[in-house]
Amino acid sequence: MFLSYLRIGATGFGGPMALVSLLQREFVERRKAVTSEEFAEGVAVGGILPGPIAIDAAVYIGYRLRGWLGALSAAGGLILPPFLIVLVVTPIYFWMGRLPEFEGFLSGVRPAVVAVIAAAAWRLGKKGLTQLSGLSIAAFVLVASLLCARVNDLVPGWEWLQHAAPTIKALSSVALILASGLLGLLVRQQPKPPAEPKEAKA
Amino acid sequence: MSSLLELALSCLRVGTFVFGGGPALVPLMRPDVVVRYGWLTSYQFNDAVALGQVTPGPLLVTATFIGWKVGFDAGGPWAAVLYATVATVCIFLPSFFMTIAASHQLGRLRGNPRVQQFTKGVEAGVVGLIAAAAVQMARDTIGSWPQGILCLAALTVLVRTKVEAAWVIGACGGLALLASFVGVW
Repeated sequence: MFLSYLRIGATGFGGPMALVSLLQREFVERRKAVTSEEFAEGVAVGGILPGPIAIDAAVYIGYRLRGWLGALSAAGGLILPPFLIVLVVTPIYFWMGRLPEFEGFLSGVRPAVVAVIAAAAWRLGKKGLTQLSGLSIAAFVLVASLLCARVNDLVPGWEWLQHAAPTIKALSSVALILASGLLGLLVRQQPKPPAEPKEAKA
Repeated sequence: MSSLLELALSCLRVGTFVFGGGPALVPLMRPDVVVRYGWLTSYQFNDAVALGQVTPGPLLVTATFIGWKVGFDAGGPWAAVLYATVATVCIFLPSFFMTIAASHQLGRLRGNPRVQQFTKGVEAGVVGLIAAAAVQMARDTIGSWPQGILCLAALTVLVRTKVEAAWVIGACGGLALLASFVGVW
């Protein structure tokens, strides 16, 4: 089982859903270790919990099949290949950083990465923001997050704000995630989503 | 050794809150790595995300890169391997335990309307968070008009077609390399 996870980990290019479909092919279709309903449940768990959906689903399947050992071999098998690859490539990156040609290459890579992150927001938004409530929460978090990042410039006169700025910046993402979860709870009870900018900096 | 502890705690926190998949790592990790501790420049952080994209498996292995850099600065190659391992384990550990804990309560968890509402809210919030991260990355790492145009072109390709991110990243790098040889960059 560890070996099949290793193989999937080493070949799972192309994002979370590519990994999920590789897992499905291996454990549902080829080995028939789990039914497709069980597999769908694993994917649903992965969607609710933090962490990459494919890893969560794999750990869930591994745990259902073989307990702790199965869960460990699922996580270990999926993560080991990319871990080793990054471990090898990272020193090469820092070594090549001295070459001017590599700097030219990176100057094209950097805008592409920005585009990848922006496209991820677009894709998640298109799938998830079908209602006004979701849109408002997303817009609120977008603005609040940008404000938190520039918190030093907001009110230059406030000494305490300058002192608190590093902490606000470091914790704003977690605070905003929790806040948007709470807003999600509130939205269902009230027709209009309340926007409370103060909550973001708590 | 304190940087190892800071790294571990940072990765544990990111691992606990990285809802909505890999890209959520960027808004969660960037403030710590670039702003608070200054482990990486914003350019290096951008490159770390690129590496996470072009390697197989989840984007969270970006933490391996970050761990390697922090460890190398603290104590050379062996420390680099140690730190990279710690960072990787710590970033995956929270969701590992949560998945196992949740697998006993699956029915209750999925059927609970409050959990669903909370999850819906978080999903929406994460979209805003990732968009904000993209804005900040753009401000920090895009320094010229050609780069801006390249970014928009890449975004168009990614949104309109099903070309994989890794290919777009590689193609943009190759294009820029060519352009810098010709001298139009």
